[in-house]
Amino acid sequence: MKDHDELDLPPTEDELREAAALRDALERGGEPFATALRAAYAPPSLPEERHRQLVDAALAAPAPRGRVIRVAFGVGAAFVAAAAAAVMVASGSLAPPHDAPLSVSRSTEALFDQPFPREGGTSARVERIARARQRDLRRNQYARWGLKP
Amino acid sequence: MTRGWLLIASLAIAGCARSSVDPARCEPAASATPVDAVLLAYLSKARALHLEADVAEAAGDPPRAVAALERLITASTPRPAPEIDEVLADTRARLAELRARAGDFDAAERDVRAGLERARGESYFRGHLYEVLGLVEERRAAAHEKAGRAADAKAARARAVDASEEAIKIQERVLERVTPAASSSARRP
Repeated sequence: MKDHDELDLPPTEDELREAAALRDALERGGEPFATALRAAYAPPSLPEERHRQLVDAALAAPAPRGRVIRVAFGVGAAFVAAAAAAVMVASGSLAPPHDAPLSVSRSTEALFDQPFPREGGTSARVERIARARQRDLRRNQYARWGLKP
Repeated sequence: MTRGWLLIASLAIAGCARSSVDPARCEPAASATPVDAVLLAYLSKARALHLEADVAEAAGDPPRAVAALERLITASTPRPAPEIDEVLADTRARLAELRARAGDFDAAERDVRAGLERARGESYFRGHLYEVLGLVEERRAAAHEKAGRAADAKAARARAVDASEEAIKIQERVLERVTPAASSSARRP
């Protein structure tokens, strides 16, 4: 580093040569450091063709940043849901599956509100019994999962 | 007449002795077993065999209908269940109808007896079996009459009346139980 006295001295031949080389580089625009300095101080406008190429490329390519954001939101939502379910179970507002009442095997009399006809109708009665117990079975499956049908 | 009362009395005495029947009300007790896929599988099989019997009857082939229903009553049951007892009782009633139509009255009577074993509590199923027994005896009476056996015809007719009376009593008691409000209002002056 030169001190103040030295700065007041006239430039040497070497300094003049280096200064001329820097000026030429700034004018040519080939030297990276010089290009960065010029872009920061007085950025030139982008050529129309280059601008179009960049826009087209950006529109054609998928947006990786957006996907990352969606994944982040998804993971976040799942975490919040799991936490909420844990709180509900702990507080008793979501009954554990084994506590839910199950439909048990029983007489089918309640399915019939009047005596049977003297002849026939057996198939229809068996059909009604099977359908009713099918509904019971579905209800039991929901109850075991802790859900209401 | 005597034979009819003996039959009905013996069937009535035999009632309410099985484990799947609630002795207090003489009706099928609720099982503690939840409705599950095993029960559903059995009921689905019963439904399929009754449909097979329907198709056979519609095609004018009662023996094939009887064969389908016999497959159901001879098949093993997965476990004791009121639903299974009631389906088998009703199947016996249908078999009795078919056999009586074919003139096989003794076999029809055996089916009714077997059905009553499955439906020991007072229910529409038990009442229906007595109704079918009445039907069997009516047809037997007609057959005796046609063959010139007047005394046998008279006896069979009497049994038919007894069975029908028993059916009516059972149905009335079931109706009183399932619709107590209707029964009490009907008795009001």
